[in-house]
Amino acid sequence: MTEAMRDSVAQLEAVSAGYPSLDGGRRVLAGADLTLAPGEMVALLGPNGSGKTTLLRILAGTLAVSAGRVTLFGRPIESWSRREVARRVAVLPQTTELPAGFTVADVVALGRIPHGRSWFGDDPADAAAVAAALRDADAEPLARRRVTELSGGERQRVLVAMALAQEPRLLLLDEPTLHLDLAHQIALIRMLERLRRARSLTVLAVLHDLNLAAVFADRSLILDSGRLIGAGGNGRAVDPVLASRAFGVPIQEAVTADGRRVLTPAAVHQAVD
Amino acid sequence: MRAATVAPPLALGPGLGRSTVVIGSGIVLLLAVSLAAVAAGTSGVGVGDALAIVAHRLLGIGTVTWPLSSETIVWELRLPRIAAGIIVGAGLGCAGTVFQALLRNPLADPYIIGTAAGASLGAVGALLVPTVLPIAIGGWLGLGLVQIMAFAGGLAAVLAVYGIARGRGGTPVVTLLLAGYAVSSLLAAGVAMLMFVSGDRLAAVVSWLLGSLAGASWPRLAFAAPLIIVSFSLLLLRWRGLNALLLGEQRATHLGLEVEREKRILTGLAALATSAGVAISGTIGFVGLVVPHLLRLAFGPDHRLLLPASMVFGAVLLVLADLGARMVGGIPVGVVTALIGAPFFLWLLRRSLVVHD
Repeated sequence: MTEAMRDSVAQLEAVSAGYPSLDGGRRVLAGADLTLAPGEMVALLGPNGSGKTTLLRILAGTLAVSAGRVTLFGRPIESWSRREVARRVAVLPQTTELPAGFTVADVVALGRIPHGRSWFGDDPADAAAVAAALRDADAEPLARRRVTELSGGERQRVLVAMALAQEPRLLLLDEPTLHLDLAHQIALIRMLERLRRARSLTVLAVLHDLNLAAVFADRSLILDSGRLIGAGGNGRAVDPVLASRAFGVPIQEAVTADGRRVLTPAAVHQAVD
Repeated sequence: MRAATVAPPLALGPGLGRSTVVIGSGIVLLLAVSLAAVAAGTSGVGVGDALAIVAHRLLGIGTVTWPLSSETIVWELRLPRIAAGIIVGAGLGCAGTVFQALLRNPLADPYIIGTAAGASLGAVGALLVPTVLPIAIGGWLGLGLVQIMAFAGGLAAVLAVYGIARGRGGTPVVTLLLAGYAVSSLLAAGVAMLMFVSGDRLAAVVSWLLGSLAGASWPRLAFAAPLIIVSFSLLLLRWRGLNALLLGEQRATHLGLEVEREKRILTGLAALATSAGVAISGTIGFVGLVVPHLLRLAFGPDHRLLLPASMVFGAVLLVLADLGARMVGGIPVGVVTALIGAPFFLWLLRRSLVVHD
């Protein structure tokens, strides 16, 4: 075991995975490699059907790989129990159904389930974790509201709070900005940035907006034909050449008047011209 | 800013205090209904005598001032019947709560995945055995062949349904529901066929199918009560899993639940409680459907409170309904549970519509 593996939050080595079916199934990932370092903020990009959600499932331990090795906090993922994983990894899927009749505080408290010890669940540690999660996700004023009375932006904050109540070290988000307006997208990204520092959290988020990814992430990973490409670095979180290749659309980089890099699909301008 | 805001401490879940009040008042109500059921009757045993007999038999206090026939009526007829009402009602309420959460279906009740149809076929088959095959079945633990066959039939049907619905990747609840429906239909066809050939035993068959606590006795309770008590005690401990399942199976997995394992355990325990209850009372409808819904509308979906409350109030409803059935000349208790439960349920349903608009 190498030094990097021991310190890493999660590591994938030559991972292949897919969904078996009667007609032979579909292989989504083919030889994907990935290392997530502690406290990193990483954007996961790629066209529809490229395996982004599959990758999150593997890291959440809910999908077994057909080949390759997956390591979570320095141990093979198979050696963790479901409950042990849930105490370390929290997931925000694209959709979550919130049960009617619950308040926001009740739903956030569900995040304590993997930690539950006392028979009735009135542990002071649970109450403290829920209060901290509500505060950190800006959901404190919502605590007594019914979950059926939330707006899209509020709902997303509540779901982040529920994930934080798990006290995870790795947070996986599947298109967290879906259905959010521009202001709420930015608010969410800022919140994640703040949480990452305050809770030394590793964040991996599937995003569709390349510019949002460029602002949000230390680096981005692009899924292209079942492999992960693009390390970022050299001041760019998203590489326009790699993005063009993965999405099959020419993507240009422009520099704004105040010196920021902006990515735009060239085809849009061609179509307008 | 934040430090300056002093908020009252946040209450999580139903809270131990509130739960104690709900369950406590349910138990008080259950005692009151049970007392009424001990004292009430057409056989002319006075209320005072009835209570004195219970006190004498349970605690050994008081002197015998009543005729022996009164003691037989209270101790051998009424009390086992009330105890059966409590135990079967609690089992049905609890199993209904579990199946509604597990199957994520508001129409789910304890009978939905085959228990009722399997138990019915077993019981009806046993009822007709003397006419087909005159075998003397000894009173093993005071249980007739009917009770044993009903219990075995209920469990076997659930095992068959689960086996059919189980695939490589798990047991999808939609498949479970559909397989339950199909297997129940098949078994119901068997019951209908047996009814068709039952001749002069049809009355006994119909009476069993409608459900009744009239056949309750201490030996039968000694068989069913331990099974039901064990299964709902174990179910009470699984509120975390049931709460996680409220978010859907995928999210429950993210919260650390081994979903397929949990489904097997919950189905097994709930089917055990249901089959044991059905074995001594027949298929009493509505308790397992309406009680969990009523309590969810009244107290919210948290299973910490919902599970124990559905036991206590399931018992209350069944004892009350059986008292009503006795008062109205021994009509089937299942008719009374529906007559009491349905209007109350509809009223609560209408009220919740107004609130959520």
